[in-house]
Amino acid sequence: MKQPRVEDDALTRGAGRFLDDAPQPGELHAYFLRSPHAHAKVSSLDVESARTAPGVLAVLTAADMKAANITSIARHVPMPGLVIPLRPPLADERVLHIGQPVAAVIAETARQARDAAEMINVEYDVLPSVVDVRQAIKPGAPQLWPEAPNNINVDWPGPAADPAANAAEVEQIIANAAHVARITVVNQRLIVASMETRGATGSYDAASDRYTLRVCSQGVSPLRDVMASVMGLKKEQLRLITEDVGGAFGMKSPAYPEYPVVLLAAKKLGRPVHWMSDRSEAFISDNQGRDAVTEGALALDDKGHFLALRVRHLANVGGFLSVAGANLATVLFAKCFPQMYRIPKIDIGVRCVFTNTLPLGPYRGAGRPESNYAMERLVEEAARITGIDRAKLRRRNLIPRSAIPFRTEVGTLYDSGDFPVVYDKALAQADYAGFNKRRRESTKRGRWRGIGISCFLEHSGGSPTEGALVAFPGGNVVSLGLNVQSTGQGHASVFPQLVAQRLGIPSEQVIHRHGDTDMGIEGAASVASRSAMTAGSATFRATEAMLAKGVVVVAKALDVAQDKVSYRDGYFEVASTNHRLSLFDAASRAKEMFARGEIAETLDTNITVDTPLSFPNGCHVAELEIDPDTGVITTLNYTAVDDNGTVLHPAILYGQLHGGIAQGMGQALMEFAHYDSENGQLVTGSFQDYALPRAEDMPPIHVGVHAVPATTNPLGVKGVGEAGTTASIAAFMNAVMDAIPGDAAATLDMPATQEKVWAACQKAKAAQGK
Amino acid sequence: MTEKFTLNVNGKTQTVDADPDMPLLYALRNDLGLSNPHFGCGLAQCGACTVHVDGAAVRSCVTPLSSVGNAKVVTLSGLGTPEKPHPVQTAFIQEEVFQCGYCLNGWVMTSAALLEQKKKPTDAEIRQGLSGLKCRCGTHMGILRAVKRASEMMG
Repeated sequence: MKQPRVEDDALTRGAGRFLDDAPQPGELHAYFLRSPHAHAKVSSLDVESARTAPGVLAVLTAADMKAANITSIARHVPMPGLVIPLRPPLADERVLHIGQPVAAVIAETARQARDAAEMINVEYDVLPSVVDVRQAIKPGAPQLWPEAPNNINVDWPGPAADPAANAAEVEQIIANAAHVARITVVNQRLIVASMETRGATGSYDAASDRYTLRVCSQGVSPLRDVMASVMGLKKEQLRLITEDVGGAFGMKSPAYPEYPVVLLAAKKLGRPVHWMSDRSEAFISDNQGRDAVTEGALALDDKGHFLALRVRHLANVGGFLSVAGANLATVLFAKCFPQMYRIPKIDIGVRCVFTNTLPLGPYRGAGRPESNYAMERLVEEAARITGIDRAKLRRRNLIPRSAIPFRTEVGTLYDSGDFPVVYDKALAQADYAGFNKRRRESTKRGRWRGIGISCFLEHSGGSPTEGALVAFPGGNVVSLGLNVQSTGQGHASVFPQLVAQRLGIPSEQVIHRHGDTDMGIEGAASVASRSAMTAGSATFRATEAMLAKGVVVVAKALDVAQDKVSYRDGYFEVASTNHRLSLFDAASRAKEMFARGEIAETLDTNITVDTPLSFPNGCHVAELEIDPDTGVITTLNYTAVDDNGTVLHPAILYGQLHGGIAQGMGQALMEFAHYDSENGQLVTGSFQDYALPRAEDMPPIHVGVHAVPATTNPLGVKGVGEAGTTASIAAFMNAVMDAIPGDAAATLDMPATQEKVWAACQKAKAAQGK
Repeated sequence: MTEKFTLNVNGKTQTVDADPDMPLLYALRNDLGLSNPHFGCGLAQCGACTVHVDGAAVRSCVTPLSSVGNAKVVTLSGLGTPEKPHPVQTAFIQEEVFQCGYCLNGWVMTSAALLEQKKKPTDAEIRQGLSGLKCRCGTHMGILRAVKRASEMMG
């Protein structure tokens, strides 16, 4: 049954309220002058003439930030040996990537601010730069930070209790194995490119000594905490507000240099200060995704059973460390192994490396796609070297349902799942058995057809803690306040529905509120495919807790025993009588009793709950055709059979999978953030140079759901936001490699652009000719 | 140098005092307070700013104000009314297409213009007609369904 999205009516009429749609009275405009160099010393900075330009009220530099004790926006979860260099909001002595903010001009209009910025004189001593992660660790490479010898941000030994002993054991198994598949694969750097760019409006109220930051975020509470720490404020002194957000994909969750600057400027000038990135600015100021090189070795016995896995991962965290930069490349990456497979021994090591590029940040999947891509390329390589059919090889190594709950070598516990069934369904739905016939038919037309399988499993949840506030604002409505932020996931259509169903009232009587730290709801952001499971669980618990309080109130109000009171469809009822009190009457009575001091709290209930990880999984199959004369790929069909646990809203689930698959296809076939290796310039700095998937690129997508409820949360839900991306990258790449005969594509790296595919086709033709 | 421009937007005549080279998008958003055409790229590379100018889908971020003249400008909020939405708007809601909704302005306005020109486009013509638009949420397949549905609704 269709449940139309609550959001769509307003959005479709153009009545959404995105950051730039909500100008604040009297607001000024900020423009950021940014570094044109990848690595340079700032030898002089002269802003005097800009200060007197028409409309200009202030020009801020590092000196202003330092004077206000705002020295660094760098914050990261602690890890042993992790180097976190200072990251001044406005460049101090040195710039480490193109686009790094150097000065901010505040003027009456955006255009005045931009014009005045041209009058700023900056002199740079250009330093040698390095953008490639493999180059950055070579002897003689430019050194970015004295505290990080060889540009190593962290050398992470992996999740094993005794990494050295574990590594030796895995090495021993690899040395003695009947077969060893070995790969080196590149996850190219990606631009996140949400359609709404980033922006922020800072304001300051002198009377209360309180700041407000209106910002495109993925959850106000965690960003408020970081920003308060950056600004040296108590949490209560900073309010964060987020309204509609035009896509985020992980990129809008962290703190960025522009935010403390607009806050400080607002305080200095006594007026709100607004900044909205333009598109070319977004390319050089938003965190970027992926950018890693993975070496893998998979040992197999003579029957094709997996014995051990070794992974060495080199991740490019950029010039500065952003909020989750090293975490996503290490912990989040490693936690995805061994996916759906039984692999008795696993050794993972990750080195994170500084380069003169934009900071690495979470981008849809954040470590999971990198992990899954490596695993599924390894399995394909294993099939190639053993001669075992790739479908059979996968089937043989799946963790059976009887082995669940399953403790993995990386420390995770798969609580639920039915991998063989998911797998068989996907192959059946994709008509894998009929592929050879379709391939012959394509060959007759001069096309090379390929099919790519990708099994995936990922961990959803990230940070466990999340809150929900069920409240009675007056009238016959309940409000559900959440910290998790919808950036396109339809929260208003999902979460209020949970409350309405439990309370047995129409969903129109449940109001969804989000994006305001003044509601006092704690939690992490809408990242790691966690909102449904964590905020859903919090919503569930808050509703139950509210009803429990309601029973006490009604028992008091009607002077009956508590065990005689129960709740059903909008009413608290007294057993064996016709006495009852409506939910809303009970809430009013509770307010009165609270005012008289008879009860400790009203029915308003704000709680936080911890929800353990869940493990969405599935099998995706991509089918495509290549024209070997031109290298043009035509995607033909895409099948996804997923276990995302209990489904709360089918259309949103399908939408998340489709969107994730589109982004995965983008990485596999077209996207590449290309930096010039000589001067560190971003060559792909606009939509002209950076390819996003378009309507005409997309294959028909057939989603099949095989839901096995999670046992670790009361709703049984697992994540879905990142599943499509995590799975699809390998599915598309394996299909491309399958289409090209022989070994010509065995070392093909992403993106499989027309040029690269054409070259591989020519190699294959030459090999065939021999 | 600013000049006075009289614009016909969503059936209303309004005046704007602005630089002749200023893109129509800024006049609509900043001077007339219409928040529905969005800034996406400023270079006609994504379509988030699309409006109708005399029925044609136009990228308002690269349309100089001086080129608009007396043409009828229609934005998303003027395409239909809450009581009587345009069939494309209805179809997009029914097909549950959108996610963040930021770029939808471009898809809805371009689809509406497309269907005005060709009542029953083929799948290939729809894909071709929408090929210059960007959606990062990846709602493309839903959009194609919705345009088909709208085409059927429009008879």
